[in-house]
Order: sequence, then C-alpha cells, then structure tokens
Amino acid sequence: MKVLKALWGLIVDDGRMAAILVLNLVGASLIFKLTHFGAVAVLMIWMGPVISLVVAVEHQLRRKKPGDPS
Amino acid sequence: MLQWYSGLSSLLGTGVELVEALTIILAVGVVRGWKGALTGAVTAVGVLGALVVIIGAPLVNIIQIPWVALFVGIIMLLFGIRWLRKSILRYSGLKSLHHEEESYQEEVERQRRILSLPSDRGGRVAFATTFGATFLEGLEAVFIVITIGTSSHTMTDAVAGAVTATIATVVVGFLLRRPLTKVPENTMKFIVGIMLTSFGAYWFGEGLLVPWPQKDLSLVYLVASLLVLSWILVLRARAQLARFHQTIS
Repeated sequence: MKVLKALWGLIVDDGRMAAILVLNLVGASLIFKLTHFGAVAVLMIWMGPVISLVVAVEHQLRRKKPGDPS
Repeated sequence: MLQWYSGLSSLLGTGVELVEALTIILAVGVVRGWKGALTGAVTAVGVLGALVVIIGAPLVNIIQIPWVALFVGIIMLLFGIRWLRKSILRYSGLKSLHHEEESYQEEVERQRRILSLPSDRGGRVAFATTFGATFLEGLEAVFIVITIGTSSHTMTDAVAGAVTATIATVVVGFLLRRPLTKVPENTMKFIVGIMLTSFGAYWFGEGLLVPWPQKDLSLVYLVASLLVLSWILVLRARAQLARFHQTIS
C-alpha cells in the first residue's frame, strides 16, 4: 500500500489538475475516434496542459487570498 | 533533435533528484559515519539501475503498440506537469523554495535525536535512511529515463544523461562534502517539467495517431506555448500576491 501511495504521489499531487488533464485527453481521444477531426484533437491535446496549469495556479492563488476561508 | 531532448531531460532530472538525495546522505554520513550511509545509497542506485533494465528493456519492444504509447504519454504528461506546476508556484512565491542547507540541518538534527534514543539501532538506521532517500528521489529519475527514453527511441541517450548526472553529483559531492546549495534546482525542475509535459502531450497524440502539424516540429510549438504560459502565470501570481500583501499591511 505504501509503495502504491509513493508511486501515485510521483504522478499526481494536485488531483484537480490531473483530473482536468486526463478528462481533456479522454475528450480528445473520443473526438478523434468518433469524428476523425484530427485538428480538433491536436488542439485539445495542446490545450489540456495549458488549461489544467491555469486552473491549478489560480486555485493556489485563491487559497492565499486574504479572508478566504478555504 | 530527440537525442539531445532525451539526454538533457534525463541529465537535469536525475541531477536535481540526486542533489536532494546527496544532502540526506551527507547529513547521515556526518552524524553516523560513512559506512552505513554509503552502503544504503549505493544499494539504492543498484536497485534503481535494475529497475531501468527490468522495466525499460521490455518496454522498448512494445512502445509501438498504440495503447502502450498512450499510457506512457499520459504518465509522462502527469509527471512533467507536476514538476512544472511546482516550479511555477515556487517562482511566483506561492510555495517556498527548496533549500538544501535547511534540509541538511534538519536531517542532521533528526539523526542526532535518533542517536540519543536508547532504542537506536545504529548502522541499520543510517542504511535505511540513505537507501530510502536515494531510492525515492532516484525513482523520479527512473520515471524520466524510462518514459522519455522508450518513447523517443533514445534509451541510450536517456541512460547516458542519467549516468552523467550521477557521476557528476557523486564527484562534486565527494570533493565538497557539503550540500550543493548553488545548484539552481527550481530552474532545472522547470526545464524538465516543460520538456516532459511537451513530449508527453506530443507522444500521447502519436499514440492516438493524430496528425501533428509539421510532425516532430510541433514540439517547438508545445514548448514555446508552455514557456509563455508559465511566464504569464508567474507574473500574474506575483502581482496578485503583492496586492494581497498590500491589503494586509
């Protein structure tokens, strides 16, 4: 269990960021497999890391905001 | 292009992890003696080397299977973006920077506390501490070497980068015998984070068989967009933090 936890910690330390990224990749895969719109899939794969990073950093900023109870 | 991409990310990634492990080894060695400390570290390096051979060698042969490529791409992407996020938070002041000197002093204090306990088990603690630290830090380096080495078909370059970083850290650590505080760890993590995130995204697309515009050159666009985004995020976070501090004062 400890080993699994350590391995999991190596790839995920912000669940929100990882979830957004993976959902985006799943979405890109589905769109490509169902519609064969390669350009849309490429754009989604490209934007996945961008969106998840923005959300992760903004979340940390909100936590630092004075008066924020979270 | 992929050879240096793979070699450089392995070199920097392994280097930054081993610098952190070296700090613990030095602290344990100074307090408890070098025999147990070095045996633990060398054993961990041996186990990590074996892991590269056991996992990496078969993976080289099946990396062309699309679902394997997709899996490796996701792992590389998640691992890389984790380092990238951490570096951005550190650059912007949202997370404190890692200081080797502080880690060294903390570990020295911890070892002295354990040494004074009647239940202290002597050399076994030294072995277990340095083995655990080197193994956990090195495991991240193994992740980098295996994922980028197999996916870009540059396993030799990735291993060469990791071995070079290991030798350099051991030699410098042996000569200085103190924590390597001058190594720009956050910058190294940032560069590796950008490289792995870009290549992870690219490789995921390859596994999916999507048509990347300009093939391998798409990596340049991915790297450039992540660099620009990181710069914007750091500037924005710094400005927001400064405003928060003004509000408080």
